Amino acid sequence: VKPIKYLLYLLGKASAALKPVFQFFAAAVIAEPAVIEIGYGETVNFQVGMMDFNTGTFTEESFPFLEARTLNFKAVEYPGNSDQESWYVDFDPFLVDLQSGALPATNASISLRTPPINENAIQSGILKINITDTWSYGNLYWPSFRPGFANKSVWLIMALLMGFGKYSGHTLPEYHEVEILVKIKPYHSAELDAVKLVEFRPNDVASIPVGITNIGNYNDTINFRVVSKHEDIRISNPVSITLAPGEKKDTYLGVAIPQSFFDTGTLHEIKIEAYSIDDPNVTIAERTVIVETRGINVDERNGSVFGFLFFLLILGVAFVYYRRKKMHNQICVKPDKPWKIAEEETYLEKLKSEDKDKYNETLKMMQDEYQSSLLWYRNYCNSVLSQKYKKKIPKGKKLKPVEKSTKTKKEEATKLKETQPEKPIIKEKEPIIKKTTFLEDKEKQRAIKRIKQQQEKQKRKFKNLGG
Amino acid sequence: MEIILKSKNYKKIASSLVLFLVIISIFSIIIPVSRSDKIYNARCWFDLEWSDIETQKPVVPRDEIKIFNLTVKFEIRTGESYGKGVVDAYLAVGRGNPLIELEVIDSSPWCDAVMERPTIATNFTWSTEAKTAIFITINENAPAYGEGFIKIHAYAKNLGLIEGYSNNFTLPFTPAYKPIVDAKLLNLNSKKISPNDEAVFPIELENMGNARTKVLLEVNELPEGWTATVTDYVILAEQEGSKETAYLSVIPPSGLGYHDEEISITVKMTPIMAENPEEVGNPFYANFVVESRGFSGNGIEQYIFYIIIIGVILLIILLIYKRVNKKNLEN
Repeated sequence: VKPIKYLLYLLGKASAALKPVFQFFAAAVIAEPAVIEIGYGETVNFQVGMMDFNTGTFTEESFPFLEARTLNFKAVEYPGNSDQESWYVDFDPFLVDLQSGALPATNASISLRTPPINENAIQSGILKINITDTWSYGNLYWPSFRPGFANKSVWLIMALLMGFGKYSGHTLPEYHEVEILVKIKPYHSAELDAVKLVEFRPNDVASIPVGITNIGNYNDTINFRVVSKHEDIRISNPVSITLAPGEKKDTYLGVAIPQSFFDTGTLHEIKIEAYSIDDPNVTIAERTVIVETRGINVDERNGSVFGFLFFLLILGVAFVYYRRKKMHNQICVKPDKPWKIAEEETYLEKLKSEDKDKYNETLKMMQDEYQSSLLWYRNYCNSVLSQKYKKKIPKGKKLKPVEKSTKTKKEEATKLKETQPEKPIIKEKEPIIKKTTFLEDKEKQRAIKRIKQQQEKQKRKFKNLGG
Repeated sequence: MEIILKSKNYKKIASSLVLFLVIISIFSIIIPVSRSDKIYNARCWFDLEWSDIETQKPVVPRDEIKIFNLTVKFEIRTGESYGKGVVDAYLAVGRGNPLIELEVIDSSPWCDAVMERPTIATNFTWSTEAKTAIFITINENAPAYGEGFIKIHAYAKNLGLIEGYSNNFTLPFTPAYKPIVDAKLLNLNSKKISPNDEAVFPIELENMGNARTKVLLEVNELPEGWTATVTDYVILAEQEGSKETAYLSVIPPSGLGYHDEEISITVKMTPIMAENPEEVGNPFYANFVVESRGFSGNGIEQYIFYIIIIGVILLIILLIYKRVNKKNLEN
């Protein structure tokens, strides 16, 4: 067995000599680095090209059996399935001529432009670059150079046997794809909507809706800071909000306006700053909200004070009125309305049914009479009271009826007779001895007055009958 | 003559040798190499290895570029005879590099993976090792502590008479927890109440993260007299968009008298992974303004009915007393 094994071993060696390891067409592409991290508006440089198997990097190579060899670079797929508008990939140069002794690689740069709209936010993904490796072969059967390991005859046999001679005079492209992992840095950005001038009345509490849009590229939770110089206004920061890229939602700024009775219009500036909870130190959006406080505000406390004061005022007025009336009654009895006296009322009703014109005339006359007596009554009371105050009668002291001289009485009576046909009965002023007597006197006066009024009525009846 | 004979023999030997070599060459080319292991018994073999410690560390969604280092262990396996002869011959010449192509053919849908070097050129020896790496990033929606995978197809082309090799390797990994919670107010964040009222603010929480999330809620310190209670926590189901509602209840001071007070209340919400409380996310906040205004009887209102009755009785007694007094005066 051993000799056979050895013979096979020798055969193996011989076979290896006839079929050497042939890696002319072997090629591998790499990118250095194979992973990049990029943010919006940033540019990152990298190298991409053909790898040398021995060094594992980009190394100059000469290919004597080739007439020409070029590498052409093109980005074919952008990260996150985004389009070319969002990216700019540049190759410097985009066509590499390897026969000129250049490295089989190019310097590439990738830029991520700021997205115009954020509906299609770009997140991490893979950048695919296509490398077209074009080989232009010369005469591979009988090369112009001397092969290092064999003479041209052996080369010819190998070209025939191994078949690579058929590529003579051909230009053949070979396509390779290299992938680069592109991680997009989180881009925290937001847009706060403009808020119209908001009007508040003093002591209002309200929530102002503030629209916010995530114009970043990832789901983002946005917190808010509020900057305001007006310490009197109580402000609650808008509620934290989580938004998907391109999503818009409303959040609410709570405002409590302080109490003031009257505000002619004060402007308050409230600045809202938004930040991502992942990066609290960077403000990603800001907006100033202007709040105007204007108006009158009467709250329960002020209202109750005002109400109480008004009540006191009413009470005071009522007291004065009551006291005055009481004093007037002490001085003189207020005249009754003639048409309300029972007898007069009956008479008027009768007259109304019999003679309408006369009824009207009589009623008017009664009204005039009443007005006149009322005027007299007031004037009289006022004059009595003014005299009383002139004498500085101590407060609380009962008013004594005014004693008039006979002459004055006569003059007054004459005057009144001239101006007014009828006049109410003047209360006779008598010294008040005790309360019960005064009340009795008052009753008596009223009775006398009624009698006199009846007499007057009868007189008028007679006059009317007489014609 | 002898020289002629010698030269003739030499030519025969030489031509026989050339013919032998040509036949061998033709033979080696014609015979399918893919089956040569059985005939020649020489082929490549390799294994792809990685650190289990590395793959067990969760990968942070969105924010991390994870690098898994890979070791490619390459071997040439032969029999004792022909294959060994072939390999020895190649090793003696020292030409060529075994090339191992690595390609990501499948991965979890929320994952992007790229090989550091898609082609590895190892040294041409019986056994060698090469280093490479795979870079991955995962999206926000990767399920926390779910099973992520990357399937790598590795193959080596034929190397002369040595047969190539191919195999698939699946690299497992675990996404980390990424808490994302949205807070939405069902009502406005400001309220005016009377001192005896209670302001209730419902807060709707929505899970936008990648795991079952427990959201802890707490209220900031409040001025004296104010009381605010908030739901201690809510648990949001794993599926994206699951919602729960928490409630903030605010009770103002209600001491006897007039009240005009306002406060700003902040509710701090901290998401944590429901199954692992050590996984804590960044807190976020909801803010509210509550104004308490009005009179507070501090419970005195329940006695008002009795007070009114007593007042009426006193008034009646007073009137009776006055009338009696008046009659006495008149008499």
